[in-house]
Amino acid sequence: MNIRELAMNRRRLLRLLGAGALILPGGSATTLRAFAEAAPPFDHAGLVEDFLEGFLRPATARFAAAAMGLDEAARAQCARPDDAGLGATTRAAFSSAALAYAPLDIVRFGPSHEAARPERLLLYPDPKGLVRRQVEKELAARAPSVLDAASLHGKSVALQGLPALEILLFAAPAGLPAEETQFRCGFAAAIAANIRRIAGDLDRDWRDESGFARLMRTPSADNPAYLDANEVTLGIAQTFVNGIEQIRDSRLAGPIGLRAVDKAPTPGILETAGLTLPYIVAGLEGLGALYGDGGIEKRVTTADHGIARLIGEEIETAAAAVRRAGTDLDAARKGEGRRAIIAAGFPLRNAQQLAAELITQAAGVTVGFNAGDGD
Amino acid sequence: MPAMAIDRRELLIGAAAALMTVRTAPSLAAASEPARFASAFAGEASGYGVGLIGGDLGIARTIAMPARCHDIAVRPGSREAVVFARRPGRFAVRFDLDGRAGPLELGAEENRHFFGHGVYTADGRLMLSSENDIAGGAGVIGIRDATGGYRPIGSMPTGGTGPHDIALLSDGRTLIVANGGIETDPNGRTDIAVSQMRSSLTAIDLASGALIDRQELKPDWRLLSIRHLAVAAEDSVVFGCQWHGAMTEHPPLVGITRVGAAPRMLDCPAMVTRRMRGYVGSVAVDSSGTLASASSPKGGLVAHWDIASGRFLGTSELADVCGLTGTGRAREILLTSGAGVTRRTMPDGDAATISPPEAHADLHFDNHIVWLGGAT
Repeated sequence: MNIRELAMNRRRLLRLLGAGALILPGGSATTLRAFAEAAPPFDHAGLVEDFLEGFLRPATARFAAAAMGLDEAARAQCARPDDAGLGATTRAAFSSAALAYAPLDIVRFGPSHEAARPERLLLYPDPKGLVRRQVEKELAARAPSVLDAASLHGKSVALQGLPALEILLFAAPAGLPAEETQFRCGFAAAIAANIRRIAGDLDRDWRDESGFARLMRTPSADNPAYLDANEVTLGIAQTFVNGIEQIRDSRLAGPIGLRAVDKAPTPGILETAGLTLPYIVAGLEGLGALYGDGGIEKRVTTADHGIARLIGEEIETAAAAVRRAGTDLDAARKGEGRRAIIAAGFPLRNAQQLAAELITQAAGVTVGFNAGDGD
Repeated sequence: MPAMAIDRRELLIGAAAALMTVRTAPSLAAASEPARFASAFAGEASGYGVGLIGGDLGIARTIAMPARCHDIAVRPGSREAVVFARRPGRFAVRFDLDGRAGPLELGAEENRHFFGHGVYTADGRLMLSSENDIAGGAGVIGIRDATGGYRPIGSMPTGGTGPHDIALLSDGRTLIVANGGIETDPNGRTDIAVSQMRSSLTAIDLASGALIDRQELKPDWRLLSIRHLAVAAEDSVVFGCQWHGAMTEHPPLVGITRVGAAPRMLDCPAMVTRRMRGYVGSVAVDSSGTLASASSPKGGLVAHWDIASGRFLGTSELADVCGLTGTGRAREILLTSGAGVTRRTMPDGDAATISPPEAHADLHFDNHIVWLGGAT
């Protein structure tokens, strides 16, 4: 019996225990049941602290710093638009900011969810090509309102984030007249300033000890977000479990053409900047950080040490597989690269299922089949 | 007299043996009675499928499916049904409730995907399904000829984006559509541009394809996505919503309306609404059309209302509960859960019955269950 078959069998036992089954075959079940009955109470409060201090706040700080660097680079470039070196610096700063955001892309609650921040920062998927169409429309109109970050913030979310900036920085035609280059630069600088603003707000709001962090730490009937500690734990657990699905199905499978409903693969996230695969690797590393530094592994290991370790290993196996595919998305759509990407899908699915069941068992919360469905 | 005592003892032993046989071979016993309910499931060992469930809540038969499925439409006047792939699925499967014919896979049309729900027209001639026009991002009702191999014969707009559940009114020609208002990434399940969402309930005249009514919730509840619905007595429509706004806000999640009227949210204790955590996974009306129920798998509860008075009746508690259906008995609802539990409940006060916890322990029932007719 290999480790996945072993995990499958143990998963079934965990489910039966969770469902309150009375008759269980085999000594393992007895051991697990005894373990469940003898296990110490789940440390919900400790998980919240690790989530905030070990994973989330370091990630928002990194993103805020990277966004500040992007803003400064874009402004410097606008001061000297003909300096090719500054253009390269801005593009590098863009990559740094995008990859710093990747671990946060899976967090969709609290300050991360407010004010349509995920869509303002990175509208994806964009099957109708809304970003490109709106950017081109603004470039044609030369409206001064897109040169100001404050007025840009009131416009369509498609104009405000990384994908719009990506078009301006990475898809500019050569030989544009100076006036147009200047306009594009001003537009790009306004988007960069808007990204810096949102990144700063995100970092500030997650650090605000009297804000959402307090709600996570003090669940009660009077708390408008969380009735009890189980709900807080469930929110963190679902961020991890749903994050795996988001990366696997939306970020990876569509662009590679593994689940394409059209004949051609769909555009990858930040594909024009050549960042699709690095962004996915950064997202998987973020998942690993959430699981480890964010305190999930530490708290599910009491239910089953082997499976708890396996979940982290599966995430790392998937990240290694995507790294093997390189950074060229076109190349990864065929041959060895494609095989490497396909190989990433299996451990992700396994990690998702194992995590849902182990958290259910360890924390006594239901990361349910239907509860996380979204339909 | 001694001989008679022996006879009675033998009779009792025989009766006990018969009971033992029923209890130790539930699948055989269940197989001998017609299925009363059907639900999609994911099995630990058996993969994805549809489970046909007997009146005793045992699994009578299963039909394998290529991927996770969602809701089931039962063809009137026949023993035929169609299960729809889960959003954004590209297939549906017609199957025979009695296993007399093999399943038939129905592929989505070019540039379309299913949203997981469908109905038949009252005469059973046409099958209607909620679908997405992928290129345009617009909701459509796909129309297929159920008498001709389920050949697609047309479509009509739903008047919104992201249509989910659909239902037919008693006139047989008015189709109600819950337009969730959110576009789905056809390559995954990611919602697109939620901040721009615009949900609605629309009514379509099937004879002409005309949109005869469109209802939206008040602006404060713009981020409520109307997903599921059920038709009650006198064609009132009960609908359930999912909240996409801040988790510190707790709008009501279940409402009722009629064609031509304004939607009205049902009163619900604040703590119950909070426990539902912004998420209704299914709604159902009992067989008398007077009881409405809405499940929240996130909250592990089902809330019940008396439709005539609008009075909140209470909750039934079950972890990861989602599937709901009337059972043929007035004021009774059957519940299913993602942990493989089936349970009957009568919210007016009668005792609930629940399947043994190990009965379907290796199955995760999907969001919906349907009653196939007959006494249960």
